[in-house]
Amino acid sequence: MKAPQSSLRPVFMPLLLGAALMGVIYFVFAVTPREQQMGEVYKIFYFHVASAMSCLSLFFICAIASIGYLVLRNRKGWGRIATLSDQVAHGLAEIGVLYGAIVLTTGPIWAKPAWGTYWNWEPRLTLLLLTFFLFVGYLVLRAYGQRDEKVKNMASGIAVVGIPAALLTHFAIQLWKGGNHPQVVTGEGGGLADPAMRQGFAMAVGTVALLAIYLVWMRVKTHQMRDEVEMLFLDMSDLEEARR
Amino acid sequence: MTAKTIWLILRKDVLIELRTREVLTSMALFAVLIVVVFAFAFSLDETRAKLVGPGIIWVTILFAGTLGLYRLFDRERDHAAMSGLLLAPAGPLAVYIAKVLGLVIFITVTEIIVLPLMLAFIGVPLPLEGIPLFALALLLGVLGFSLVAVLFGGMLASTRLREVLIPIVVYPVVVPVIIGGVKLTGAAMGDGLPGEADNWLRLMAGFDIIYLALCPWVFTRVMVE
Repeated sequence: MKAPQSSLRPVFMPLLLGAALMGVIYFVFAVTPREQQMGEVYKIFYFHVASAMSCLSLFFICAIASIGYLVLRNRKGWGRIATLSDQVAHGLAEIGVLYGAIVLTTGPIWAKPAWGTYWNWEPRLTLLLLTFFLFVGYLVLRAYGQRDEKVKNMASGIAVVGIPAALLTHFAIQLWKGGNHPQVVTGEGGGLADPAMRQGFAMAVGTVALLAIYLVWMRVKTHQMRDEVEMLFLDMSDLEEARR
Repeated sequence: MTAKTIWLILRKDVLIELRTREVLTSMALFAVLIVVVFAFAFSLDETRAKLVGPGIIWVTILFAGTLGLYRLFDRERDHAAMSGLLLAPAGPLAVYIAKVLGLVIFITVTEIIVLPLMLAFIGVPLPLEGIPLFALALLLGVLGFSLVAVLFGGMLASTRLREVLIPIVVYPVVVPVIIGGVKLTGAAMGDGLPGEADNWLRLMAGFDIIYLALCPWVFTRVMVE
């Protein structure tokens, strides 16, 4: 049995992250200068790009954790690490899809005034959309069989195959469009001229990434608890069986 | 050992097909119907046909291929036939390779039946000198699609959600193949910039090589209990 946790801990991180997010929002809206061509709409860029960077990192690490799971799951003595990497991969995919939804919502809102259309098949957008779909499939499969060993294997397979596909798609669309997509998206360099803009951008990226890490950690905890409950339930039914 | 098992599984699938003819008939019929639907949906004339023709051909390959994939693994579901195959001494790798070869053969035969009809329906002339490039694009594209599709099809065949899940995960992964295939088909029909075709061939070959290495590994890892 674990020792009961102190009552302060569950609220500490949310409060800290909430304050940090408020700080970023204040900084972005009150301190950073107006962008000359796009005006206020430009502010969404900070959160859009920060979420996109976190989202793709989450999917990428999810694929690596899945490789770890597939390699380790049948090795003696590695069972616990394999289980953990599977739980982490699941959490990463969930938060990755959440962030993907944020990116795909803020993107068009920003793109309409900036480029004049809600959507274009720019390499990075397409890359994110397709990876998003793939991981939605991943979560559908996970939801279908929570504790099933086979489902865990299949889900890991999807994550592993997805990442090279994402890179190839990016490459293919660059080839297709001849690489003449708008310069604004590049983020560093051309887009962020003012030092305050760079500071705001760095703050947004950091805070959004921290939030992602915290959320993933929460999801992993939840999965661990569910597994534990499942085990206890199985133990209990074994006991009842024995008593009879 | 492995080669023999691959041959046996492939032979079994082809023999069943030769006796029932259900997969090829349904794939070919389905492919022709898609083309008919597209012909009306785009109200095709000569200029438009040149624009959307390659796309129609590849969408048809994708959909008909998915149909073939379902049928290829439906057979293994009854009486846990898949587990039996996986227990064969050569292991999951042989099953994977045999099924990929099977799907490539089914799609290729369907294309041979349907393509002349498609070209006639859509009304795009395929010049004689474009045929080798087109055939190469078809081969690379069908192989790339089959590598990914059989991996996911085999993995997900035992789940209840397979009809929904397989397209959701297969289509995003094969997008590079589709883009390359459409571009190369356009080039074979005398469209596009000179020299561009080489880049697309390289992309599709790269896709095939990466997945030729990755998919068997994943399949083996996932399917072993």
